[in-house]
Amino acid sequence: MATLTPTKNASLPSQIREFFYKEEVPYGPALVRIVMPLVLLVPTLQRWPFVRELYSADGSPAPLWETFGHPGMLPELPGSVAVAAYCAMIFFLIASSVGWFTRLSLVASLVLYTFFTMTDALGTVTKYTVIASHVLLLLSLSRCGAIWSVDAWLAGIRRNSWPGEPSVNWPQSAIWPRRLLQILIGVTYLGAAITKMHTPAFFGGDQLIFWMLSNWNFSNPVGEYLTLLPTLLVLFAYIAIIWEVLFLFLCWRGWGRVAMLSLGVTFHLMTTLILGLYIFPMVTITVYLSFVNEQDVARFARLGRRLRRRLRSAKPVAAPIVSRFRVPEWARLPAPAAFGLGLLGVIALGVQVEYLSDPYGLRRSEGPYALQEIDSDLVREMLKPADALREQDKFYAMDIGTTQVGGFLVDHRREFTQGERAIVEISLNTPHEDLWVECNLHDAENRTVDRVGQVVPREFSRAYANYTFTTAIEPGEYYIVLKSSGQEITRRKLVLHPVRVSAVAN
Amino acid sequence: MKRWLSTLAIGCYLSALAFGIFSHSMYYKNTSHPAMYYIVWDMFCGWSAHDSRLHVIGEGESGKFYQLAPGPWGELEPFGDLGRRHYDTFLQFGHRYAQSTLAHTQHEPMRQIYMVEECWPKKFNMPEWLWNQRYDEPKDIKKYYHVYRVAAPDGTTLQSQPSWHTVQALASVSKNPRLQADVKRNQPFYALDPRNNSYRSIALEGVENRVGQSPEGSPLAN
Repeated sequence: MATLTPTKNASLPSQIREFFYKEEVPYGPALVRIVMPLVLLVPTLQRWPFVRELYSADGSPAPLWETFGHPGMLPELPGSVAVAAYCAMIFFLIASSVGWFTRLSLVASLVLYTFFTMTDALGTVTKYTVIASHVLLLLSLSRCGAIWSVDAWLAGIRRNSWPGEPSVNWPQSAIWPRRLLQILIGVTYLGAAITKMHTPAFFGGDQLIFWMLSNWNFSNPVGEYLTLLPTLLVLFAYIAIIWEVLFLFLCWRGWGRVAMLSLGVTFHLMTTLILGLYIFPMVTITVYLSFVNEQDVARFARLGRRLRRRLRSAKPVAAPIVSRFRVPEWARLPAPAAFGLGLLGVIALGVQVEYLSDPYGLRRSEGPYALQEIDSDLVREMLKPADALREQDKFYAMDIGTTQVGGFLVDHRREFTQGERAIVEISLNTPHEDLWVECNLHDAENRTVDRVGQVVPREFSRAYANYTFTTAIEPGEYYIVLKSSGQEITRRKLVLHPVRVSAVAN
Repeated sequence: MKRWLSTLAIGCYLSALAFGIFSHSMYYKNTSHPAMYYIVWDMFCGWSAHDSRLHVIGEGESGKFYQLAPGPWGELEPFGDLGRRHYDTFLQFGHRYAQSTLAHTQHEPMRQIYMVEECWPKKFNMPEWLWNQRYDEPKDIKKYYHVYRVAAPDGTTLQSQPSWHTVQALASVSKNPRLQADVKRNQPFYALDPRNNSYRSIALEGVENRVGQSPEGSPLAN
């Protein structure tokens, strides 16, 4: 935080210089370097059994460049070459995380990761892979391998046993890669906010409801439940966009930094609960580690030292074993040779395992797989001319209440008193044509007491009808009946109670 | 020298991010090149009221029908429990799954390949416990099937239609009798070439964005 407290009379250029070129120990970038590749390894390893199918000409790749109308922009690799390159990418990601030949590993990870993600626009490339590519690029420009890495250990930094100790000479470097990581995440949020501004229906709440009901990601029961509380969704929509716009401007210091990062973590954890997202929040929260500065590390180090002093009485077990461990002289290799051999070993092992796993079953003793036959009646049902949309499928729901917040009823009621006004909320599935919708009041014998009709234009996703239950309507059971094109869509039973007449003294 | 290089790197990077924001907010060249995907942050999106799944079916010369996607070896479920092919919202790669499956299996000669959408209102995605809280009536789900594309065994497109969602949007407009009369009266003698990609993409984009075809931006995914 002190990094952003330039002297009062400093000129703008000197403030900018301070902002980008202040020298500090690269704790933040190092943390991002350690965690981000591990996060990326989760989806990467999940896709490993499908490398040939997803990323090679021997399968069904779906290149991003084709969706943008640039066929042939990058090559589609032969099957085994794709497998070998993918294995190399896994090796480089691991090497980046542990900081072994850090810059080389990060650059190789960047190139391979970006290429493979771009090769599959359906099941791999998403905005979190894009953020990850940016992060790998910025890390490769930083000196994130200068600490907490194999490179640092090999260079003798292992003598620096505890961060924040003033006697220790930790390597410092210009802060600008960390600044660019921070700006990246802020700009990402700003772009996301602009998308929402482009989509007025986002604030209406209907699209959020349908998003919660899309089985597009992992299971999201909390999100599904929230479809019962659309007013909350509208409120969240406004909070989210305000936070997204403010993040870039307030995330730098003081309470703004604490508030923006806390809201960010909450927001991303909410996306796990309500949308079923896992990797996306992990990637973005990992980028938040770039906000860790020297003061934060010193604070944690003090805490750690205190803990260490408390635990000092415990007999050390691991340390002597570690210190006694020595690589045998005959097995010692120069680091570049060990790195190269490790890379080749991973590639050779990966290619061999993939060959033995025979993903298409071409080398099975019974020969290649046979196609699975489909019931011809089902196929005929699929291939016949499409059915017209049923009238009831043009409607999402009908609710009755008295109070609206954010355009949605917040009290779903079935009992009313004479004199009260009921609001009937009709939600529609778009697209639909211009509709004549009736919301009629029927009595217990299903006789029409009142007819209320209205045109619902095609661009409307909600319509309302108001009923004032005057004393002219007898107390008793009634139904609100929703009709469209003369067909009954649904009905809701309600009970009307008599109005209480208080005695007036004379 | 090092400082100059650093300044150059900072300048280039910030310029790229700024151009991405400008391009995105002003719709200026935001889809002009794959690189734009890396600087345009169009997350969220509009989600339609209907869900859809994709079926890729091969018709053999014997008249039997076969499943061409997923292949007999299974399929990646990249972001949840949904197969990869279902994320092909605009059916740009359907022929590729079919070709790959045919290339790696034993089968009779194929006559045609059908790519069929299966759609239904998303309200039916509610689990039973939630449905019972929300609605008085039982679930009465109807699946709508729509032949999206027909291809020859070599992948050549024989017949292609807009998506089911787009067809519904167009149908909602075309039910207007005045509009129908205008269309009939003003049909051009020379039809535009429907294979012209730029014409087709403009027409579809205009309709689908307006009605909220899913997703409007890029998926967040997992």
